[in-house]
This record gives sequence, structure tokens and C-alpha cells, in this order.
Amino acid sequence: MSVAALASRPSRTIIAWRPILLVGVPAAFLLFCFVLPNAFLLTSSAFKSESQVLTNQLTTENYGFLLGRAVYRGAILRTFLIGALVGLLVVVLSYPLAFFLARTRSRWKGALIALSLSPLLASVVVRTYGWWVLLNREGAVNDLLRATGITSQSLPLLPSVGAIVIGLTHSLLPYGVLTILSSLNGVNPSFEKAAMSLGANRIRTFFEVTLPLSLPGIVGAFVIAFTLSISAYATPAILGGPSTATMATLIYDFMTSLADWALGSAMGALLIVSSMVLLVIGAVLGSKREAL
Amino acid sequence: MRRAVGLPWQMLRGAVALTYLFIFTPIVITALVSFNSINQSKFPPVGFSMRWWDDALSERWLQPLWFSVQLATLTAVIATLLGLPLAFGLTRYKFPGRNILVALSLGPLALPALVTGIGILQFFQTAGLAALFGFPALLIGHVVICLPFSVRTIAISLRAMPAKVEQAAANLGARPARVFLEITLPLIRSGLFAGAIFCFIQSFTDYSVSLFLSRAGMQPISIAILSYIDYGFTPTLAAVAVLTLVVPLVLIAAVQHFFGIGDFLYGARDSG
Amino acid sequence: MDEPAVAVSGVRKTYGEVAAVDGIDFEVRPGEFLTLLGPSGCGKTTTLNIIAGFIQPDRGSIRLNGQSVEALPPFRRDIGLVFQDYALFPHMSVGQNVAFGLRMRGVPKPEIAQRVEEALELVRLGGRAERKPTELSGGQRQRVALARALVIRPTVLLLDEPLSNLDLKLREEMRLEITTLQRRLGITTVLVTHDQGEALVVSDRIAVMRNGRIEQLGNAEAVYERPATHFVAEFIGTMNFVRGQAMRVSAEGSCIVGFDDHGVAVAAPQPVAGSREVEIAFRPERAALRTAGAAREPTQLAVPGTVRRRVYLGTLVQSHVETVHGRTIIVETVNDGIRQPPNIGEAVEVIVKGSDCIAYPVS
Repeated sequence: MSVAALASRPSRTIIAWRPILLVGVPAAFLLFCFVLPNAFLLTSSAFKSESQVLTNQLTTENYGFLLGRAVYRGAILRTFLIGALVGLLVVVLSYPLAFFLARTRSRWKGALIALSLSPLLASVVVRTYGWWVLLNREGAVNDLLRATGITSQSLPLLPSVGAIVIGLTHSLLPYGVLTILSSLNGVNPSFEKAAMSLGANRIRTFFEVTLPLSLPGIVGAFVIAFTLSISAYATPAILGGPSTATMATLIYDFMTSLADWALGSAMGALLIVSSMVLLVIGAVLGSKREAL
Repeated sequence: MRRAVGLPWQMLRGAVALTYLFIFTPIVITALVSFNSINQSKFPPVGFSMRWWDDALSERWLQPLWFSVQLATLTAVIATLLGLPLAFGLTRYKFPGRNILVALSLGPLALPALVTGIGILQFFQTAGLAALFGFPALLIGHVVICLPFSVRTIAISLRAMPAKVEQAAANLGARPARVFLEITLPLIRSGLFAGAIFCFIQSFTDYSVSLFLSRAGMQPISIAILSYIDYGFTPTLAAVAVLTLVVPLVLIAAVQHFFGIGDFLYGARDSG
Repeated sequence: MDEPAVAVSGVRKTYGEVAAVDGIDFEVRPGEFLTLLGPSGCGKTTTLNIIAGFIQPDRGSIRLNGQSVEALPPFRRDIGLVFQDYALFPHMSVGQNVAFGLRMRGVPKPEIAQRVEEALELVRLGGRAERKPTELSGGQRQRVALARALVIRPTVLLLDEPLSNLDLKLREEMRLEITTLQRRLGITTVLVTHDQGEALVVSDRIAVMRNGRIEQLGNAEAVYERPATHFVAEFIGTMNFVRGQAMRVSAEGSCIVGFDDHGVAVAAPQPVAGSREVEIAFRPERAALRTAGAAREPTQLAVPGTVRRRVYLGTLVQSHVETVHGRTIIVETVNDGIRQPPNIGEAVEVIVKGSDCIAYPVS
């Protein structure tokens, strides 16, 4: 699936009332339930909030507060670090799998593809549970470490940034597989045959031909994993703690227990801007490769 | 072309096997710890007991599960009803503001769902629509995040239609409404279904939007699990987690049974 | 005695129950242009892929210049391959595409630059090295693909339906260009095609394939004039068939066939049994028409019928004659202004010399 399906130009020109009739209701819905709330959020992030009530005083105080305090700055940096690591790990783990799925001649190919995407059927909450079972203080990994005598005491594997990265990598892997697989499927197999007939062995064929041609898929997988990680709440909430706060868990705290909507909105706005920047960078990188 | 089974390929197979292990280990472990005989999520499980499953199958958990199924079903239906005219308008007509609308209809995919959630929360609260929190607000939030899936899938099937069949029907004397009902709709049927299934699963597995729009007694299952985690990761929760997997699996099995997954994925059947 | 450049012997490849290649043998002499010709699914592309090393045969051997290559992976076979869809690397320039094979062989940089330029000159694309494949026309891409395959100085050049993506005029141009180049470089070439016209024009020899076997291997004249089987007769050019009776099998490779009330001696490349029905084949340009009932020479076959259609082809005029048995025979008359083709509805006799006929057993 691609944006191109929508973006390419339609072929017919007809009087304008019919399309307006068609898209009117959905457009109004999006305007009212998507554009307005987001606009409202951006606005409220720029207003002063006093005793948990928004005032009508314009200010940059909320952003100053978030970017000025080490604890919030740290959380923002931590969020991006997690996003980058998850993006990297998702690419590294899903590329071999996607490559195998694209090239295997097994009659189970369809089933294997379905299997690799099947975790998408489960909520992230469900998929993260297993990691908690493995990694908590009384969990299987610590049991194993103690039983084998590698450590005498339980290691504090949770809460930790490492656990969050593992959990997010795990839950976002299917997106990486899907993106890279569709990009590899777009690489004509005769390119690889041509390279081999010209004397490139399988490894050189892969690095000289297959990998460069699937680069848009790699960029896509990285950007998707990055953007979805920085806005993920459940995984850092389950596998992390106060010491590993991220932008998303802070937003939750601001909105609920702290009831400071202005700060929540400001953090949300930062999240929106970060996502947009990433998507634009990804689109530029992706299209640059395609133009070659 | 036969895949020469060389060393690199064997190594790749090994890596792939490990990746599948990575993918499924947490899910399998979750399933197994639900059979612990103690009220602790130990792995390997201690003893064997079904009592956490009795808990999981109680009203306490079946209520939010059923709530999620209703929410996801209605989300899929509404997202499809909104997505169909939107996709049709965008693919078949040229009008001012079309590009903005394209961006807008894919927007919820680009912006973090969590932020959309708090946006709706604040907006409704401020606009005096707080009464909507619970099912109505959740439905609105879910339709917003699902609409891009629906529009995209339907737009792809609209573009994949055999060229000129609509013109052919019009040429044979069919008015636009008949063309749509008798030609377009049957040809994009599988796209409509695919889009609806995507929406159902997206809604059913969502927590980001639901986090801020639920209220007591009106919680989807993912939020019910998330808020219960504060009481600890009990084997009951593991059983509930496994239980939530059943719904999408049943859905996929039903689709496979009634439509055949091939037709469903690859396009319309010949309506002979 | 020259070693054959390519020797394929006893090669067989099955997919499940289906034999894609069912035991084939042929040799390509150094500098020869051999074409594997046949309809889709005949095994010609599988054969090409086996020579190139992309498919391992179940049985049989491939030798290149006398060296057995079964154990060699595709990238060590020194074979130039040109694909139907060209397979030019889209992320590389024209020059980088042509340089690829040399780079893989560790050729020093200055030499690469020189050889790439030479190869591009050879295909009349000098100075285009910086272009991207997407900026080229179909014919130019085809020539880059050719340059890329030739620059490595391969033992043998394999062409997989290289012209089928080009329009008719360009196809005829490239046909000529490829043969000229092949003759000039004297490179051993194997072409795979389903286009019999193309095969007749470019090849030194043609192997006509069907169902994974070679039905006939010979030069253009042999496969056209003396098709070894009914299939080859039907597949190459236009052929007329009438049903007759094998009366007496005379010397090897010939028999007397009876048609209606007369009999003539015809060639029979496949063994035919006496007093069995045979298909008698002859070409439209070898037959003539005359009014019904005239005297027949003893060496001629005369088939009575009625003219049903006339097709005007410019230099030729075709008459479609329906026989009393309901078959249609095409007779071509040179449009020389002397011979007048008969009118539609006229009763005629199609006359053809026995020596222009070939008998095949009825399958």
C-alpha cells in the first residue's frame, strides 16, 4: 500500500458538486474530530495554565518548563534514544527475515509470511506481558541466572531502557518485516541473476544490487519504528518506571495524575513535531533513492 | 530457479528461526504462565491450575472484551461508510482542495494516536461534550485513527479496477448511481472487506486513543488490562491476554471460511 | 578438431511430475549462433537457465569449452546473459552497469574505464556512460544490456527473448544489429525465442523444442524445407496438411502415399507404417492452382477443392481452397500480372510435386 494510490492525479474532470457531496461528510468528520482537537492541543500548549485551569494568557512557559528542566529534557532525549535504537534493531532483525520470506521457495512461504505478521493481531499490551514475565526481578531470566550460578542476586532488569527497547522492537518488528518485504518484492529477480551472470557471487550480489535497491524499505522501516516508538505508551509503562520516563508516559502523567493539560499539550506538540520531522526526512531519503 | 543451498542461505535460515523464536517466545510464555498453580506469573509455571482461566472468563473480563468487540465492529462499519465516499471522491474526481483532503485523510496515520487521543479529550471537555466520554468518544477516536486504513485500502481497489469498465457501463446507458452500484461496488467488494478487517483489528488492539477517552464501565479490554497491571502481573492477566488473541483469530478464520483468503486478499471473485 | 563451445548432453529437469527439460543434447560450435526455438513452456528458457547455472539439472552435463561446469555457480561461468527485461541495475549509471562485471573480476580501474568506453562504442552508445538506464529508450537499454554482457568477454553469450519487449520496427533493427555484432566478434551465441521469423533470420542453426525435447536441430533451410516432425512443420512458417494413405514404404526416409485415386513418392522423415493414414504436408508457395479435371503428371499430387477466399498481400496473392474433406489449403501465387488467381467459388485443383511434400505419421 502506498500514498501514491491516493496522490496520483485523477483522470476525469466533472462539475464540482458531486465530489463535494461525496467527500463532504467524511471531510467534516475529519475536520471536527481530527483537525480541531489537534489544533486545540497546539493552542492550549501555548497558554498559561494556573491551578490546573487554562487561562487565556499566551505564553511559551510550558515549552520553557519542559525544555528547561533536566528531568524532562532527559526524558525527551531518552525517548529519542529509544526511538533510534528500536528503529535500528527493527531494521537489523526484520531485514534477514524479510529477505528470507521474499526469496524462499518453500511451499510454506504464505504461512510463514502470515506467521511473521500475526503478532499484529495482538494488542501491544498483550505482547509486552511476556517480556515482563521474563525480565522481572522474580522472572525467568533471573531464575535462570541464579540457578546456573552466574549471579547470586537478582539483577534489576526491570525497569530499564534496555527492556523498553526490547519490548518495542518486539512489538514493532512486524511493521519492519512488512515494509522491507514489500520493498524486496519490488526488486526484480533478474537484477540478481544479471549480477551473478556478470561474476558477482551471492554475497556481492546482495551488497551491490539487492541491498541498495531495497534501501527505501530500510528507511521506511526505520522511520515507522522510530515514530511509533517515541509515541508508544504501553511498553514504557509496563517495562519501565519513573527512572525511565518517556515523552508518552509523561504525557499520561500530565494529563491524569498531574492534571496539567498545558504541559501535556506542549509535550504532545513536541511529539507531533518530532514525528513530522522524521516522516519528512524519511520521505526525502526514500524518494531520493527512488529517483536514482 | 532452484535456491542453491549454500552456507550463507543456511546461516540466513538460522537467523530466521531465531527471529521467529524472538517473535513468539513472549506470547507462548504468556500463555504458559496462565496455568500457574500459584498466584504469581512464574515461568516455567509452578504446578498446573485452570483457576486463573475461570477468573479470566468471568464477567469482570468478559464485559470489557465484549465492549471491545462491539467498539471494533462499529468502528469498522463507520470507517468503511466514511472511507468509501472519501476514497471514491479522491480517486475519481478532481476538485479544489483535493490534495489537502488527501493529506488530511492520511493524517491520523502520521500523527501519534496518543496525541490525537489527548486532543479529543481536551477538545470535548472544553466544548462541553464531556458526556461523550466512554463509548461515543471512543468510537469517534477509533474511527479517526482507522479512517486512513479504510481510505487507503478502498482507494487501492478503486485504482486496481479494470480500466474503463465504469465508462463502458455509462456508455451502455447506466446513470452514475447504477454504475456505482452495479459495477464499482461489486468490483471493490474485497477491498471494502479488507479495509473493514484492518479497521477492526486496529481498533481492537488500540490502547493509545482509548487511554484518554474511556470511563468506568466503558473500557476496552486493552485499557482494562493496562489499568489492572497496577495490581501486579497475575496469571489471570496472562489468561485474559491470551483470551484477547481469540477474537482476531476467529475473525480471520471466519473470513477465510466464507470468502477464502485468496479472494479476500487478491481481489474480487468472478460473480458468475 | 575444435572443442564445442557449449556441449549439453542428456540434460533433464523435472518439477514435480512435469519434465521441463526431458533429456536434451546439443553442441554449439565456437562462433556459432544457435537458437532455441519453441512455444512457451517448451523448456527453452529452462535450458538457458541451466547453461547459465541458475538451475541445477537433475541429470546430464554441461561443458563450456570442454570444461564441465555443473559444479560452478553462475558467477564463475563466464557467461554473458541478456535478459528479456534487460535487468539494467536502476541504481547505477549506464557506465556503472557495464563496469559491474569487470569490477567483480577485479580488473584495474583504468582498464575498466577503457573497456567500458569501448563496449559502449561497440553498441553505438559512446559518451552515454553517465546516463541512467531510465533515461534511455527501449532500444538503447537493449544495447546497454548487450554491452554489459559482452564487456566481460564471455565464453558464450546467452540471449533470453531479448527483442520481445521492442516494437516491430526496432525489433527488426536490433535483430540485424545483434547478428552483425555477433559475426564481427565471432562470439558463440545461444538465443532463446518463440518467434520463428526471428530464429530463421539470425541463426546459424535452430533447435526447435517442444515439451522439453528437441524436435529438430538444423539450419534455417533444413527446418523450413525438411521439418523432421509434424510439430516442426506446423510451427515454422505456414504449412498445408492433407490426409493420405501410406501405400508402400520404400527406401529409408521416403514412402509412396496415396491420395484419392493416385499415388506419389514423398519424403518421410519419421518412420511410417504401410497402409496407415499419414498427414501430407506442403508449403503454400510450392503449390499451384489449375482448373479442375486437367490431366495430372505422375509425380504430382492433385487435391480438388473450391476457392473460398482471396487474400491480397501485395507481392503475393493467397487463395484459400476448401477441400472436399473440409480442410483449408493456402496457395500462394506471385503477383506477377501473368498468372491470374482463380475467382471465389471456382472449382480448382491444388497441384504440388511429390518432392515438395513430406509425410508424417498421424499422431
